[in-house]
Amino acid sequence: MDGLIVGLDLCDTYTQVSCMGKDRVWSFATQICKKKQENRWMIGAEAYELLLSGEGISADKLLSMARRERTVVIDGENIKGRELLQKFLKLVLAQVQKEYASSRIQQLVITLPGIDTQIMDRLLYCADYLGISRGRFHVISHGESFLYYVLNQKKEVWSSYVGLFDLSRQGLRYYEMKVQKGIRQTTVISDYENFDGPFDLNLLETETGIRKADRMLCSFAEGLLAKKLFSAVLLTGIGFEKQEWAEDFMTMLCRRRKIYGESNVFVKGAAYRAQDYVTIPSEFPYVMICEGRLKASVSMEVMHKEKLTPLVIAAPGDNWYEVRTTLEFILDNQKELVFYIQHLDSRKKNEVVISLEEFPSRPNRTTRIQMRVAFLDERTMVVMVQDKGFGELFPASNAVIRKEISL
Amino acid sequence: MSLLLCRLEPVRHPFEVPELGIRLYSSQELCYVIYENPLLVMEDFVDERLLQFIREDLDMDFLAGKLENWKKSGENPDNILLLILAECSYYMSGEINRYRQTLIQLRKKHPAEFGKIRADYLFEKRQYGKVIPLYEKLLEYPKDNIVNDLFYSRVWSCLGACHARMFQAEKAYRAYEKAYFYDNRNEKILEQIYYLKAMFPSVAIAPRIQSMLKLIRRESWNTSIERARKKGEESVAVKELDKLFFKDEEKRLEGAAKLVQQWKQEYRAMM
Repeated sequence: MDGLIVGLDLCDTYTQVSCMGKDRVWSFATQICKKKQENRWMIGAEAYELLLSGEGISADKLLSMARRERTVVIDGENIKGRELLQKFLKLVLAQVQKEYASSRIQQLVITLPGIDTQIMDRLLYCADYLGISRGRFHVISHGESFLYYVLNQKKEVWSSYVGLFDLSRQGLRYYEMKVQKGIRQTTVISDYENFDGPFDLNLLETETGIRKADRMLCSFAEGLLAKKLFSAVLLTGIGFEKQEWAEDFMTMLCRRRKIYGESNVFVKGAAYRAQDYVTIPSEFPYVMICEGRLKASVSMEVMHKEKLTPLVIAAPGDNWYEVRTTLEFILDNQKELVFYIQHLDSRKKNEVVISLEEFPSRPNRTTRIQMRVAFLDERTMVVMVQDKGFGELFPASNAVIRKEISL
Repeated sequence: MSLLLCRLEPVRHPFEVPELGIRLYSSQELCYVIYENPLLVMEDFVDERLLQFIREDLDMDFLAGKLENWKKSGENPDNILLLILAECSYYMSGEINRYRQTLIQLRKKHPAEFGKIRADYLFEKRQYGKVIPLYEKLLEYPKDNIVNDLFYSRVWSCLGACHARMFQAEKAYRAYEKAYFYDNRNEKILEQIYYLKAMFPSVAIAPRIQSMLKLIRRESWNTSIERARKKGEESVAVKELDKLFFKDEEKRLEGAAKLVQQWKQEYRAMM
């Protein structure tokens, strides 16, 4: 099916858009401007001009506003953060659609610095507003974008550890990726570490500040890169648009390592991810472990053809916000649900039990339960169990047990 | 101890089992009814209506096809029930084997005896209208070592009970009379006639029976009648009815309409 395959990097200060197969990367401040007394909304250069002329009213940090469900007054009208984000995204995508004369978006992957249920909820509203169905709309973390960006480079780039320093207005963050090749499957793991303390880009405006920033970077990087073999180290973010200021850091980094500067890692990674959604089978049939994906498996034992068989509810590498399972069981002399949680790096299985004693007592095998599983974040699973009875033979009480399980 | 994973069954038209007054919404419920009610399902349970339910609502086209072929082949119909149980994976193989033994034991019985057990089962389910022809059919069996006077008496007695519960007093009396004809030492039949007369005083009792009743001490029967009356007066249903009469006209009429509707449904179910 035709249409644009779009990656979109959405941060509080900037937003970037990239389409698969196209070179241009669009960059906007995450800001929207309304022309006074008119129902006209603008972004980018137009918005800037309008603001300078004094005819516009703007709102920025749209991601935070939407996440916290804040309301702002613009031109005497109360507008929710979510609505502003919707308008902003629509205008961003409209520019891309206009440029490429394509009205249909085949896949849209939005990458964010951090994912939680609040922002997921708001973004799903945005998808509805944009008229993009859930199957064509995905949200991933910067960590995952990084993985997809690197995996789309030549293999020698990711033959060993790959590091990424991201220096933006939000601060300094280091991502690291490694590929573990196993007999059955290949696992790609990415993790990140934030710089301990603020890293203000305003430091780079003075000589003393530059020296201080360089020292901070060096001490941060030394600990992270020590005793590891890197096939590549990437630098991204507005802070690394020019690297001359970080003289010591660059000298330290370039020792026996290949360094790449790339300002669009996350947006391009998102576009690669979008492309992979439409590629069947996936070009990267690996288990991806990163921010936004589960690091543990959750399973249960069920009876299948008179044998106890493990039933996987969620597997390592699943996107936690996409795991939504609804299953129905019949209790056979059982008054509890037992979940087995196994972390990727451990052989030990932890048992978590949910008691169903609250449900009405009935003859054996005449209680049907509906179990719904979802995740609040990477480490918290929510289980809702509802008593469905046994048809008209044993009517349902519809009692519900809800439990949060920490992985 | 285990969990049975249920398959997704897009049931839009539940399968009605009028004998049990319920509708079935899943393959598990179907298996439960088959397993717990062998006497209900042994004759003509698997029909076109059930096959349609299995095919379209349970989305088990393969099983429906298998059952259809089996039915056409004219083989042992009990195997069709066993096939349903095996395919739905609700019961374990050990339980299915026990069920098979139950079916075999029932089939081994004399046809009249099996017919009586089946009719008694439906009587318990208050299917009086449906069970009358079954009892009547039993009376057509020729006499042998099982079908004897006592058997006929029991069948007539059951017919009497069916008619009495459907408020057909005359028919009930005639059936009890026949029952007494085949077993004139059975005071229990006279007791039933006595109760019938108490319930329906207009029923004409033959002089021969009347004289027999006079010879028996009836104190305990009178006590039973009295006890039943009291129980009736104190029953929740009667109290609800009493309450209804104290309500204002609009609510009373509304309640009465509901109640009559309920009684009609119950009576239809009996038929």
